[in-house]
Amino acid sequence: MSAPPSNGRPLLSTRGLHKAFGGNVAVDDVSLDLHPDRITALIGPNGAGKTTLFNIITGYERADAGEITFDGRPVSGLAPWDISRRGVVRTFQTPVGFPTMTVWESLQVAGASHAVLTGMLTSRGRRETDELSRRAEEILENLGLAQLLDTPTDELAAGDRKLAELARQLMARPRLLLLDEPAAGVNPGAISRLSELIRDVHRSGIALMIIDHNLSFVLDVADYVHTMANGRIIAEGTPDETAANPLVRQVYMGADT
Amino acid sequence: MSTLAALSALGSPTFWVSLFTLIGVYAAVTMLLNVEAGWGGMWDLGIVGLLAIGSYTYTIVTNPPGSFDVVYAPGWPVWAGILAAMATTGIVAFLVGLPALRARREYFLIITFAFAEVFRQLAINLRDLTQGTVGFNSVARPFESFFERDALRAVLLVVTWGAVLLVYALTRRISRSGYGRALRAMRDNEPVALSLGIRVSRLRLQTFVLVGVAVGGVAPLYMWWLRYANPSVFEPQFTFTAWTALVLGGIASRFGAVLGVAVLLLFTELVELIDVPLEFRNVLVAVHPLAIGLLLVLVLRFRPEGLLSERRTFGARARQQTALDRAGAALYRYFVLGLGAKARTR
Repeated sequence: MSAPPSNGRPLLSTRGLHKAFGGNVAVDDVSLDLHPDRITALIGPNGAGKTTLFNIITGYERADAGEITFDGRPVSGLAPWDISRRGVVRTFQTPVGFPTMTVWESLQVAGASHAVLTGMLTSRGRRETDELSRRAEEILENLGLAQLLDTPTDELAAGDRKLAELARQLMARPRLLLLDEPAAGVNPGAISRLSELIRDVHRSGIALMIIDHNLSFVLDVADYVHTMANGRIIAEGTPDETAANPLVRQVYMGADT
Repeated sequence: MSTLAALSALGSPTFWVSLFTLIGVYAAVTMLLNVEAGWGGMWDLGIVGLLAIGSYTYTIVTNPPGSFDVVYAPGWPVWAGILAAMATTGIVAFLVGLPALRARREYFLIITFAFAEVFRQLAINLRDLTQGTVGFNSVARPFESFFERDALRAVLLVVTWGAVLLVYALTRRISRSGYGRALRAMRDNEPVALSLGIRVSRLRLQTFVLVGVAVGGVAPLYMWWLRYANPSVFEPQFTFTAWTALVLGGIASRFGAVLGVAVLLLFTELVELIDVPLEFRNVLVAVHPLAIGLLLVLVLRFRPEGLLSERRTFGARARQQTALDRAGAALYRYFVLGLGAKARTR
């Protein structure tokens, strides 16, 4: 399979990102371009710096150096809520979510107007609530979760919890969705279904970047793969190129002995 | 003798009117505490501090000129006193919230507790304004010229419970709005709330100020019931009672605050009335907190989430609209939004 064309302006670019925790360099001079027309993946062994990179892009960590631009505008150093409102939305490795809420309620949180206090007092807020309710039901329907509408989040099975999280973050109307290990904890039989859903999301016009450990899943779902090790991007290319790359095989198979 | 005293208290309407007025005041404050602490996850241990600010503001600005030996007694009407109390408490909440909300959980708790004590010390030391520990032995009440003593008490009971209903309507609306869900979301999981675009720090401050303004509105009711103001009535005991009632009734539920206050205050008042020989009177006083503790332990043993719970308040019911909701929404649309629309077209 060859990569779809990636000409045109990248949606997200990082230039020279650097982050160290004490003497431990987690992200080392990372520059990458993310094109919305292909599903991008970021792979690498534990501790390679993948999640730290996500945290930096989404504002949860501040880079020591480097620049991030989203849709042509600099977004480095912005607060997480600000980055989310600009359209960069992430998921989390452990899908705890909002334990006291039902699936339906947590989807309502995601879509609510940002002027929450004034929204409560105006008719706009009320109309918005009705519209959100319809949208939430539609998203849950698409992900096959319609029957779990009224289930408390902390009573969901692990796989459903992942999907409920995906549904909730989709409610935030992302332009770019960063998925942090979407396949972790998902029953192997359900992985192909997950890949299908992720492709559907991408087809609906949302740019995607995925971190995962499950190599076969990533190589199946992604169109373009960046490989990280020790904080650096050591390779990038199509899934086929990535699978054939000796450097990638080395970090994954531990062939460095 | 003491038997007679106890029985006559139970039989006297004044006793019940007074008790239920106090229950109303505590219920309103506890419901507001629930918005902030139950839903917003801000463990405020200084709610009595805001009540003190509101109460003193109301009392000082409504004192008739020359009635006390203080530098400021403008003698404002009652309604202006209420507005002044709300405004002052809101401003103070903003100034306290700005630094305090940078801290989380137990640190926030310590800071708010300290601020409440600072306000009490200010009331003791700003003698020119507050008459220090002496305080004020009378408070301006509404309708004083229309009713005689007992009737006025009954009227103020109705006014107090009108305010309770208003606060309940407000919290009900919050619980069913995006605002209420955003509060619970940031309490449950701040990183996820942020990832959905919720501006957590501003939401906390807004909520703290909203609760402050509302507590300022409740403070005059407390003053009307008490009919005096001095620093001793703003000791931390008030905050502890509100918190105990909230945990008892079901923190983060909606009606739990009211139920918890009613159960707790009825219980403590009735324990007060237990008939014991005079020489054991001090033993009863010492056992009093123990009895409250026992009540709390028993409720939490059998209903860990309190008498009512968050899950039963929200859960599947969050999606359904009851007849009451539809009626409330219709009234709200007709009066509030309708008036707004008229004002805009004018």
